[in-house]
Amino acid sequence: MAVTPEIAPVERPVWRPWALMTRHKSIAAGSAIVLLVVLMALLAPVLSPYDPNEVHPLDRLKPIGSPGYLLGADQQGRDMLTRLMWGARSSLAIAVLPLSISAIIGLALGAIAGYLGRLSETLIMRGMDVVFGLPPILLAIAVSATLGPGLVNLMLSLTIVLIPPMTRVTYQVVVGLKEQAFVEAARAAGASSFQIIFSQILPNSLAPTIAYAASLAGAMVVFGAGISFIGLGIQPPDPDWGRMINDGREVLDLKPHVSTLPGLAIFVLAAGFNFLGDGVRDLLDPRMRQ
Amino acid sequence: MSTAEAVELLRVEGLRTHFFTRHGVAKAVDGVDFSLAKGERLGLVGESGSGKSVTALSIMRLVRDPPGRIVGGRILFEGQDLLALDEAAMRRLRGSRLSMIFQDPIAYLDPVMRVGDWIAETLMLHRGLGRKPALTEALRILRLLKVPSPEEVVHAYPFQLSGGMCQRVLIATAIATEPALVIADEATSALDVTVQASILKTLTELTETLGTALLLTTHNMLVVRKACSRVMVMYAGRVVESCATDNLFQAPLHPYTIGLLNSVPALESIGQPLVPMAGEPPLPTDTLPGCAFYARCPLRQSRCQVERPPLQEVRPGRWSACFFAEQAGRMRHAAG
Repeated sequence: MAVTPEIAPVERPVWRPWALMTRHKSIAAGSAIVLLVVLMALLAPVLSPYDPNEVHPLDRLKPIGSPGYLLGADQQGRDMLTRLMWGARSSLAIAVLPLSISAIIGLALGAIAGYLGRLSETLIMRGMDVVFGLPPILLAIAVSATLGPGLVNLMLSLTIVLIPPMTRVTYQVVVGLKEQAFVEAARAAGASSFQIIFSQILPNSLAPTIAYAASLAGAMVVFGAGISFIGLGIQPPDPDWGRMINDGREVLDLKPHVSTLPGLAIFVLAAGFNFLGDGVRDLLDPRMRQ
Repeated sequence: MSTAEAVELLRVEGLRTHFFTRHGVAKAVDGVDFSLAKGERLGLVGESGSGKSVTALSIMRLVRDPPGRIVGGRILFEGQDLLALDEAAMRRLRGSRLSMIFQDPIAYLDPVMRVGDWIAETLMLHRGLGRKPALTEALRILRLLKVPSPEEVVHAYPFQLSGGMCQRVLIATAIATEPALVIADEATSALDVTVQASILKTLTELTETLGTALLLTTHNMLVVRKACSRVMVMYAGRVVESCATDNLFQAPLHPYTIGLLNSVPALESIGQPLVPMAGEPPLPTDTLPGCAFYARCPLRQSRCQVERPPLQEVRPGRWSACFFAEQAGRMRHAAG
């Protein structure tokens, strides 16, 4: 066997984040936007010119570009730029935390239901159908009515709402994976069901599940803002983008900047997450790393 | 049989694996007997649906249930009946004492796992090695298989490797724990001819050096000729002929084997047209009282339709399931 003509040279995979950025434009755009908002949120205490709840009765509804108020002021004379920076915190938390937690729970439940099947499948998937039947807004109302409104309870209700779709996506992926040849090969090598779930099923279902979660992050920003808009999320006077839109509602015709600026912020962050989500899907597929 | 004096490793008695489908019970394997000695290389030949792969999967107890189930027989491996073992005991045997190589090498490797980890995982499972020593061992096995630049191969993902390379990785996984028996189910069928030859060579060399027995299922007569010392021909879930490989190619004693050989191009018969076999094998859901080959057989008599010919030793070491085995032997000479 001196000559083995069929062997192609092996390219050792190298992790090159910058090359990825230039190849996947949507990752570059998405991460730039999200990074900007994250920096804004983190550095709010340092960079913001005022305290977010500092009231200036004489400067009510100052327009954009007024001296001392770069993006104007709302009807209590609070600085818009300051409140936008602080408001980014809750928007980011709402986008990231419920998704991460529900993705972990959904992965575990979906993998068990999909791979083991039988009773676990019936219990988990039918249970998910029940939770699926709850309208998200109603659940948010129920949670804030019983536990009281606030950021933590909002995230709790979002997590509950997100678990069923996460479980279903994982379940679908796992049911497909279970029939794959390499799972049979692992069984032929003597692996048990739980070893196969950890070594083959979870690593292979991670990419589609995370891609799905990433694609929802933008929608979560919008949804969280909506809950705060109707008064069930962040409570005044704490700054939140959805809350700020509501504040500006009454003066929308005369001073539109009070509502439109947070609206624009929501739009930009949601778009950023969507770009990033698209890119993440490609990134997590090892076949795309070449 | 000629292997009687050698140490017996595997004995399959009356194995019956049926599939319970909407269209009825498919008797994929319906009464298969054979034995395999330590270090022996046995070929299992037959066309698609003849039951050779199901036989292989039954030995591993990997037949998917439902719809498949082993409904009868015994599989004695190293003295214990595999069909009587519980799932945990069977799992400890799989990959350590008996392992399997499959047809489509790329599909049988985990796409998101580096192949080094894939090989190492079996070692970690059965030898209790840590990840580092297991990877070192994986590297040693790849060297043993004469894989070029093994240091790079262990870090590669399956999609970065060729089909032949992936098959070498699967062979490495199968032999890593030095099992007593390797079952190769159509292991070379998806590869092109030159790669096929080198894989077969690797496989035979390895089983020789390690003393591993090999059960090779294939539809390709030439693969058997190259790799196996003994061969069994399967048709419709049963063994129809069993003998040493040389004997089979020189003087087959079953009309089905003769049909198979006549439809394979051979150097000895250059210039002569290939003779394809007429007809189709019976459906696995059919229940035939007589010989399953009756509809396609050139030697058939009315007796064959009502009575099933048993597999019997018609000459020393030559087993055939045909009432007219001697006539079949002469038929081949007439054709050639």
